[in-house]
Amino acid sequence: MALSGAAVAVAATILLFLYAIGLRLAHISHDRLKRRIRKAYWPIFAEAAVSVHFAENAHLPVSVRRHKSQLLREWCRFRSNIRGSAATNLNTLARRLGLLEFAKKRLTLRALGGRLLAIQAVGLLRDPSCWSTLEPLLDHPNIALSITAATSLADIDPERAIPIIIPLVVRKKGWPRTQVGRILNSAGLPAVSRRLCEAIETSSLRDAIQLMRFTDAASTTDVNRLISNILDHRDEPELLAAALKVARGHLSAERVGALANHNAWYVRMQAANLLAKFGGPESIKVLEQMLSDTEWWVRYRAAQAITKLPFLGPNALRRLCDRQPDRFARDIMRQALAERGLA
Amino acid sequence: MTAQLLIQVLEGFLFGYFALLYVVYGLLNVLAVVQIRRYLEISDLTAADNVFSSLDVPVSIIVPAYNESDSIVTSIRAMLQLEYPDYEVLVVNDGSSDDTLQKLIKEFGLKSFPEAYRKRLPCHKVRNIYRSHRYPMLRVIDKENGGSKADALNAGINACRYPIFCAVDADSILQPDSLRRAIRPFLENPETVAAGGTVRVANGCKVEGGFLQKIALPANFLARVQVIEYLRAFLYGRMGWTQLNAVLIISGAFGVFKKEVVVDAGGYRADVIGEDMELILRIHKNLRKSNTPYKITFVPDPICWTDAPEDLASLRKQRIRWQHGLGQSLILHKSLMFKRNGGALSWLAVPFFFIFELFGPAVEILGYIFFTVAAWSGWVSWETSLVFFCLAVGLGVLLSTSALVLEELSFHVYPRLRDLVRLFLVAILENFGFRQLTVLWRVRGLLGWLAGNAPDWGKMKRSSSLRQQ
Repeated sequence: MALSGAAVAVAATILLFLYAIGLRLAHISHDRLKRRIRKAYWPIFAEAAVSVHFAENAHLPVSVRRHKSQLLREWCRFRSNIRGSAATNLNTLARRLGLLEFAKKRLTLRALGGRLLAIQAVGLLRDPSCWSTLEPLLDHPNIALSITAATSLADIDPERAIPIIIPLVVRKKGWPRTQVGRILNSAGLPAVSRRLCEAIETSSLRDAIQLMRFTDAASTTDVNRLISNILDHRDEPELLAAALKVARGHLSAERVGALANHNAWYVRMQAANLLAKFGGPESIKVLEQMLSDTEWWVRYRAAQAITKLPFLGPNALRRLCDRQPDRFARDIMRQALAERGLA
Repeated sequence: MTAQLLIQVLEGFLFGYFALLYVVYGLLNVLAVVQIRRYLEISDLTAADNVFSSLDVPVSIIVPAYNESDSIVTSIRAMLQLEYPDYEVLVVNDGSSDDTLQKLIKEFGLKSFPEAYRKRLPCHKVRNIYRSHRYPMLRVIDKENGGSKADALNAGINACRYPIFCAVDADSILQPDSLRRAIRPFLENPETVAAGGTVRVANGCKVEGGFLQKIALPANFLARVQVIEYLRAFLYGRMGWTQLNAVLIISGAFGVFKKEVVVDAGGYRADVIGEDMELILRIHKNLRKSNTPYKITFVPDPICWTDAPEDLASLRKQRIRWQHGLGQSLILHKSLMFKRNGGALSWLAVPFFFIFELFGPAVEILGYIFFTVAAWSGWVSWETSLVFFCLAVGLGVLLSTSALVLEELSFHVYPRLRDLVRLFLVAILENFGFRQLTVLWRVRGLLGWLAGNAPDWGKMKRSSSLRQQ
């Protein structure tokens, strides 16, 4: 029994070791193949990106079928950093290389890695015929599959995809926010701006705050209108703070000043932040009051805001610091001045 | 008859214990494979995610430093060059008795700074705060020695400005993209409150300017064994628990936290040796108590490299200290166990750490002694004893080899095939002598903790990799 136990342990160890060696050898061979394909095809991709003629007519090397997956990967890597007419040229080249057909066949693969690559490729190739295959994937429980499908749908037809994607952004808790941000940003203002702002206005508090993070993808006009509506009609402090955070500076000092007395300290802090960006001479009084706030962060942001106001010189700032009746206000002003090298 | 029954019970208990250990580690291994594969799929997908987006959050890096004169300047220089759009570096000089502070002042042009310091967490008196004129993102807090890293970290948290902080050891070696990788879980899931990074052994690697330039295996056998140990601990230990949201340890060498969650939990405890583990357990407890959904996660990428002890004396002290800290933290939070709705944390992770990590070494030693004596005295057959030893050693070999397989499935950090073969040999050899030695030290740590003795910190000798930089 002892011997058979030992034999099992030894056999299992040897098997694991051989498996590890196998993995390493596969990795080395994959690495070599990657380098070979890069060496052969990246110059072709680069030339095709700048020349329509080359993309449409150049003589292309014959790619071995078993290397096509790697070629597709390299093409995707190259293509995902390219925009405009160069992207169209690269798509033409990919079709000539047979990459679209290859990718389409792999859309239903069981192996996740290959399937994700295929989904990404048909999106970059903007192939509308794949829409019906990709759309159901948005509801797939695998996050990688659903977010990649969303990215590809937005690549294929942003106008059609964004109204479907925006409600999913709040529903799909696992979607990486960076990836969502990228989808919305690359879909372009016309497709995203108004729809995103409308979605924020009509969403529940939690969803609205979540969507608010993506307002970078919306136009200044739409964001300003949204912020105004929120400040006028909503009173949830979390939402107000989130709105002030993304505000782009059309709010009057009076309006922001009113928020400087809000009950929630994080709203007051965001108000101070906003005044730092867009405050005028009329904001000084409000900011000075905030220097004596009970919350450290409000005092700190107010002090920073004051030192950032473009019309106050070093001497004026020092005088402002000295005239504060409150010790906390003076301390925080001194810190902010020192941070700006004005102490 | 009674003695025979006792022997049978003990024999059954020891075999049962090891069999259970096999099952639990096997399951952890499977979970780790699933988690790593999932992580790599997504990370491959977002590999081009190098563009700094507006979603990045600013981070405060807190570096507690006590008598780090030899390495502090290089480490801080490296930290100032991380690839991240918005961060600050806060060095906390914990009353060093060497010239750590003077070196920082001279190298970075520090000037005393009138900061309105806000004490939200308890810590020893802050003597002065400095700010660099050359590097506006660098501040140094000079405080009285608090006798613990926890005290210095609390002082750093009090002074940090950003909503997320990263606690890093002063001698940790980072990679330029370490922070970017570690922060990803926070960007991807707003419920993330803490994330740990995989720590690897820096011995043998070439380090220049505070950054890792070339990865290689250490020449020293002890350090080489620790390469395997770190792989085991991080790649499938913590990755496995991540899948169940039951991570209990985020290494003090590199951990990222939401500041408010740590402040609400009361910060680091200065009276505990394993302050990193204790904090994580307290965060679990706090957030569960308030029914707040949260995630404590783990980034498998190798993002932090640390110097492992190369001599037996330093290693012994380290292991005794770790076991002591483990005991302290677990007993302080024993109430986390077997809670109705406690999930995997309550029913699996904490009991696992109690049974297998805290008391495991004692059971293993008991097994070695019992089966040797029992076979010698004829209470059990030599064959039975041999099976036990095969089981114990075989488990160690299997665990180490499977960690190597996980490494090959994911990061293949050591580039040469020869390295893999060497590591395999080490994975086998460490089970004949080294493991038993560390088990003995851990038992000593356990006994020390039970007796209430404070473990000896001592000073670790630096490896040549770090000495040469």
